[in-house]
Amino acid sequence: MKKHLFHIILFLLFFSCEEKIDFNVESRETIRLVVEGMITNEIKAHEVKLSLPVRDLNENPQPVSGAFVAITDLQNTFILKEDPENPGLYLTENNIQGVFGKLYTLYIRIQEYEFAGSSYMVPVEPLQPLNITACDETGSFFNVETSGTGDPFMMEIDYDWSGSNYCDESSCIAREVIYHLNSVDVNEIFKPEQELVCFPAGTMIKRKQYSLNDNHQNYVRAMMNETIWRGGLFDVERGNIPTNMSAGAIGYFAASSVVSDSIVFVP
Amino acid sequence: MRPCLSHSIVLLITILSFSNVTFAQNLSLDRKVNIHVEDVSLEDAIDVIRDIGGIHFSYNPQILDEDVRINIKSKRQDLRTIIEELCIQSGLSFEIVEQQVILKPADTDESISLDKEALPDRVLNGYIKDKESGETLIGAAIYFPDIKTGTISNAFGFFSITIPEGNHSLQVSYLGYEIHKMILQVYSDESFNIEMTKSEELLREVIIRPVEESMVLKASQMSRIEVSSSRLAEMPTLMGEGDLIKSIQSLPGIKLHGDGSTWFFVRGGNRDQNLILLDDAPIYNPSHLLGFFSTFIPDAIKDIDIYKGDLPAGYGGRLSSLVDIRTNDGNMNKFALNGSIGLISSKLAVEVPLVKQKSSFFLSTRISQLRWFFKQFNPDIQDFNFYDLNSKFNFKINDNNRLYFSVYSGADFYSNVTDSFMSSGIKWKNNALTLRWNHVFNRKLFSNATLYTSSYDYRLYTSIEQDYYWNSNIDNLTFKYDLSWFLNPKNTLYMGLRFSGHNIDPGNYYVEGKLGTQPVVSKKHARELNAYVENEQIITDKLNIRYGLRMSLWDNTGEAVEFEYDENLNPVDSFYYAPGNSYHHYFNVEPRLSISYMMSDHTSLKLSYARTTQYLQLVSNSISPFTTLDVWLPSGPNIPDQKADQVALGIFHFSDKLGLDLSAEAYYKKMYNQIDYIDHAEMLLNPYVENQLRFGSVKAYGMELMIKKSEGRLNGWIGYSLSRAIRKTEGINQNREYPAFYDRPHELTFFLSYNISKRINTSFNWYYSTGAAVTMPSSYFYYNGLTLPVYHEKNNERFPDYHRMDLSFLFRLNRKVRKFQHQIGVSIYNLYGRKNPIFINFNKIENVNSDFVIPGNLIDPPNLLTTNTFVYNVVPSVTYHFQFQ
Repeated sequence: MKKHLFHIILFLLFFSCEEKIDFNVESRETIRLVVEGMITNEIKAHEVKLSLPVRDLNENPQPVSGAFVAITDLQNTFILKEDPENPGLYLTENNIQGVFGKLYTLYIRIQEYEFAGSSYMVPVEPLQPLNITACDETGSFFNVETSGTGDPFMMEIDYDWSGSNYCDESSCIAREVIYHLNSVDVNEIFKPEQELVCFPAGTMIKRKQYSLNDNHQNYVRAMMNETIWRGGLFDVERGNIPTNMSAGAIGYFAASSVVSDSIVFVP
Repeated sequence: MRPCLSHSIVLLITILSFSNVTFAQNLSLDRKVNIHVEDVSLEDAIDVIRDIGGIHFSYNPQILDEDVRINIKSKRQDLRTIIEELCIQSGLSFEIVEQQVILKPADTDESISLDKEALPDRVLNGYIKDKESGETLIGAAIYFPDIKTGTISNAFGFFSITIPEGNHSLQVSYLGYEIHKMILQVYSDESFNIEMTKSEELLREVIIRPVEESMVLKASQMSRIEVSSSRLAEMPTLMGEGDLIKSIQSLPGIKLHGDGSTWFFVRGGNRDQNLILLDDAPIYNPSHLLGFFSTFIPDAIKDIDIYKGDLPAGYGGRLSSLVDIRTNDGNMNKFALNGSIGLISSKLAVEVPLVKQKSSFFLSTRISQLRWFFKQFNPDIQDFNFYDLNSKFNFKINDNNRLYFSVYSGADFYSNVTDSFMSSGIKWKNNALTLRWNHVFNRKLFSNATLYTSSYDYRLYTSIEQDYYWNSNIDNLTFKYDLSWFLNPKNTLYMGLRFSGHNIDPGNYYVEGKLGTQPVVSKKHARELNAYVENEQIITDKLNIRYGLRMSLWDNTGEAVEFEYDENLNPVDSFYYAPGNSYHHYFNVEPRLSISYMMSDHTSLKLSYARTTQYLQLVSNSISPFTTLDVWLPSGPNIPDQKADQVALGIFHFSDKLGLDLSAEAYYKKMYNQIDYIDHAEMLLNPYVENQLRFGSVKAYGMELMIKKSEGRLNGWIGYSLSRAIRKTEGINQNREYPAFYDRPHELTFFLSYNISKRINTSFNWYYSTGAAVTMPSSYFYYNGLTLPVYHEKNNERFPDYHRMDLSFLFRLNRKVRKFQHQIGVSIYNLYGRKNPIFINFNKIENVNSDFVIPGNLIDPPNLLTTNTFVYNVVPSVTYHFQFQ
């Protein structure tokens, strides 16, 4: 329904236009720690990324190195070590697994500053069958329909068609992140058009679906408000995205249950 | 009383020492001459008429008032009319005695005039009407120059005035009509109607209406602008659709939300703080096509009064402004038909006299033809239409009783097929129904009883076939009774009572008309009682004062569920109230005061204070100019009543030489319990929506300047306003002050209309304002492939300045006035194609089709662009209008 309501604004599109402009916003240097971390029920090296905000759009973020980073569930504490090849990326040992029902706390210390944030895991919905439709009239390319039902989730989809005849040097892989939330928002209903991720037959599709607890869903909803849902014709007021991190840090530390699958798409 | 065009003596005891007495033979006042005198003394004017007309005057020079300046422009007019005009402007009267014109004071009995105070007062009352259609005229000026007394016809065209017994010249004027002049012999209380003729003098350079203007200057009312329906017809239009709301947005002090919107902001007030009344009934959402056009059919409108402050005590319920729209009554004398065909819609209006001079019926409809247009682009579209219907029946029972019954209905429909079996869509509808009874108890006491109801219903269908929809609605049923008591020449008392019931559904999901499984948001009900009394008093010739009190009692009633929140605004308890149970109330007293002091004959100083209260609010954190899923909520246990205090000071001047009104008003307004929203507030289907709100204050101040020329070949206005609107809300913007979205310090408006010839009119409109205050990111961070903004302050930046020029031409196709008249309107909206932003965003990329889209592939960080969304480019349009009567 959300997609088809696009036509409601056809009249407006008849009039309205969008163009690129140079608009100078008075930017400010923000010295706040940006945290992007997650622990899941997968057995792997779990990641926490630390960086600083950037003043201008498309600027590369500056990583935060030398931090002490740990994840604890009160019974166990996992120390994360900075990846020497990726400054600002901190990893647990590669055999760590989060457990449903536990409360996980991320602890970060940088010099005399300390930051912490907690999250808990909720069960994840089973993966639904993929709904794939033709991307264009030629029928050579396809895309995944992105609607969802049931409990809220985040789904990462990785595409790889490097073995396909359609592969050229520039684009043989793609990554898409889809969110399904339980909230009802007018700007979601009338969200702007999003770039379709199209792939040819023979593409390897890997899906990972992450559960979202209530707090995480609130974070994601605010994030959607400021990104994927922003720019439609029924926008809402702008606002900062909430966080579960303390001491002025921004970003989010999440704990999620994960289910995944992979297929080779054959029409 | 015997109205007459020339004076005849009833009682004459005249002691005159004649000067300039000569005798002529065969004096005829029917001779037609051209006379042009401008701003000359009375004596000079007499000389000019004598020389050109070849007639001779006799008068006592002592009766000539040296301060009187005479303006007469007559082309092939008979001498009698010219001398009558001279008499009206000078407060004299004349008679013909032995081939000469004898001038004397209008009250000829000197022995009586010496003791004027002892004369008994007489009351004149009646209605002012259009001669051709019988339509009553609102706000017509009735003025007696000789005794410098006058009044204005009320919202039903009724007037009542008390004047001393004797002979008096009377002048009645109304914009767009010939000035109506009479000499009255008043020796008893009388009721009579005055019929006015529409002016055909389109090409006069200047038409001076000093009487009307001096009455406006003298009146204590300020911050009020009247817009006539004829002015609306002249203004440039978008896609050929004349639009009331868009027209008033070009007045100083009224700020538009943005292109494509009918929302507007007045003196620092929010968009829901404007009370829009259509024949007394409130219209909650005056927009079509998500806001592109307003709901009012221009052809159905008779009169529009806009109050930016200084609200009369008879009105309330909104903090910032009142737009009082009165619809046509219908032609009482003959059948009339008019209509138009434009690109967006077609209109048809019919006026039928049911019983001549007694009763008429008016029906006006507008139907869009968009469905056909859009089906060409997308066959999935099932419906894409809007319509309006205005209807009015009026019946004059007798001279003292009249009935009016008016109906408005307007709706928008959109639906499209979503799959083989289903369709979704949007539908919203405004309805209003008003029944009014005017009763004249006696010459001094006028009453109006009104029963009205209005509603607004919004539906977002997820499946039309299965009847699944989100619905919000609001309605009211109101009875009010207003009395106007023309107590004595110095006091007019207004008083009234109003009782309303309100029902509100803040938005729920329904399946086949029953509440669905989504969270249920409690419906709300309230009762409201208002009482007011106000006196308009003439203290001296120079000082007028209007003072009044309005009282309001608001009472929340069941059936409803209310929540109790803790200090962190988490819900901790809920209370159920049975139907009809009263559970919360507010009582407010709203004093109103305005004072006017005439500094000179042409200049007045005015001061006003008004407290206003509002109990109904639109709850929406949308920043879109378009109508979204708006929700109304009443004040109650968790939403305090909104209040405002406004003080305004103004100086007003009328230049009769240039025919210009000049005004300057300064105001300071403080508003309390003003709603703001937490970041990313959840407004839809949220039973706890009240904990998403925060309450603060707004201070607004500014100055508005306006130069206006109401009539003449070139007319229009130039306005400028300097204003600020600053909000402060605990929990928002780190408790610091921030500019409101509609804080736009500078605003400049031009509207000029020029009659090129009798058949061609052109209008020009230019609007400029500082850009809207908006929140923009001051830095960014990255999370899971997305670029997220960081905001340091609310409304920290501004859109680029807004400006737009519109141009229109109106070609009358008839050479002469005929039964069938038609004209073509050509409009160019946004003449130079200014791309005024409605949104500026930082989150899109350009795809291979050169469209701006949200990035989908996050394998590499996307190169995001800053984009500007604008609504209009150059929009030309053509409309054909016709009229038959």
